[in-house]
Amino acid sequence: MTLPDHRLCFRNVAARRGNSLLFAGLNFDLTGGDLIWLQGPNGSGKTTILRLAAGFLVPEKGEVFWKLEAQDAVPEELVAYQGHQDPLDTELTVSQTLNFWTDMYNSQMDIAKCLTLAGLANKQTVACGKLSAGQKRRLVLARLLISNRPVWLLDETATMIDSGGEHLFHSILSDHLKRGGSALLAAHRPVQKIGATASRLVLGAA
Amino acid sequence: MDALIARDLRLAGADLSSWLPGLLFFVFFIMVSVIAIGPEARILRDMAGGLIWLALLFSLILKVSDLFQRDMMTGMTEQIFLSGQSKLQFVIAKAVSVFLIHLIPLLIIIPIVGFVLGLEAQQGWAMTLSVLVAAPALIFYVLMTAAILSRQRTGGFIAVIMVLPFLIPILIFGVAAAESADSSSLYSVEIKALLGLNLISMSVGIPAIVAALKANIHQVT
Repeated sequence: MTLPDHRLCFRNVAARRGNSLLFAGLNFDLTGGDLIWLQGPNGSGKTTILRLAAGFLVPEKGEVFWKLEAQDAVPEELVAYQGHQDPLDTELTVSQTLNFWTDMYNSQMDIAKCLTLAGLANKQTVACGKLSAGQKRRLVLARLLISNRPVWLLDETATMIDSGGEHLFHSILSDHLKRGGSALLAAHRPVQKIGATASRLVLGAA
Repeated sequence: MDALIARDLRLAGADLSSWLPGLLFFVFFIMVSVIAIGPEARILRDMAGGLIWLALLFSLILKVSDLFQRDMMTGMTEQIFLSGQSKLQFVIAKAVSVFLIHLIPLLIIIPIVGFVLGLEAQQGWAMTLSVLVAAPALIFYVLMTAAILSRQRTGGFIAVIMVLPFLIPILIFGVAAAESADSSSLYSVEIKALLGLNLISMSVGIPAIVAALKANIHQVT
């Protein structure tokens, strides 16, 4: 199953935090198969770019827009966002959580398969609050798979995952790109393997 | 929408501290009032309607800061908004959950408290009925305040000041409806006024809740 044709466009975008200008004149396009790796020190505006791309922020200047099958679209149709928080209900079990998101995204994805891919197949009845930090991140990966959205916006998703998990993250991400998906990834650490194909967007200190 | 309500119910079931304190507060408020007013049966009976309504309002206001705050802080609300769920459905689902989790326990206990205060059974049911009729207005105003304050960690006191002006008309007509419902017909003027307040609360509340949540999502940088 391939993902629909899509495009995320930043045109001459400027953003500000408080009184300081973070960046200005930012232009890029993200389309099927693209991976853009956002780099830059803390406070340089990586999260701001991701939140602009998710439609959570409105640019100070310029324009951010989304296309799906060459038609104008809203982020609610094509974007999956993972912030540096884990939006999980500590009381609910792993499978309850994923069932909830399957309903929210109105997704056709197979939950069991997504759990296996994320390496959580034996944790279905465990409460999310009992998972370790790394396992929570894996659950977040499973939610990304469930969303079946073409554009993934990832904020430090690979942190706190063990080396096996990191390998898993890279294989999930490269599968996503092969299916015609795209991703905008903010990370401090180098993105192994697939990192070679990634475009880099390096932000200076604000 | 079912999934949203089911999630709220599961969370409430797993964490009693999210709703039980509101119920206990209601009971304690009545108990303390009885001690303060004294055991004179006639006075208690006359004051019962007002006391029950006051206890109900305070118990609901007590919940305001929790209703959206946790989901807003963990990033859950923005994920739900981004998932493409209709925002109208989201707000209605939340209102239904608040009714089921916070208001139903109060509705059940009101006739019991009424009996303790010396109300006739019919008067007790009239109390329950008046609260039931006013429920949508109570819920939407409380949710509106909760949405506006969803990113304020110490919003408790502001919440009281913000929500009270909206709740006062409901209090006025609610108390009057409870008193008239046992003497005259079910469709008293007060009940009609409450129904009107419900409509206003929905037409003002639903867009305001969505706008406030969006504004709070946009605030994070």
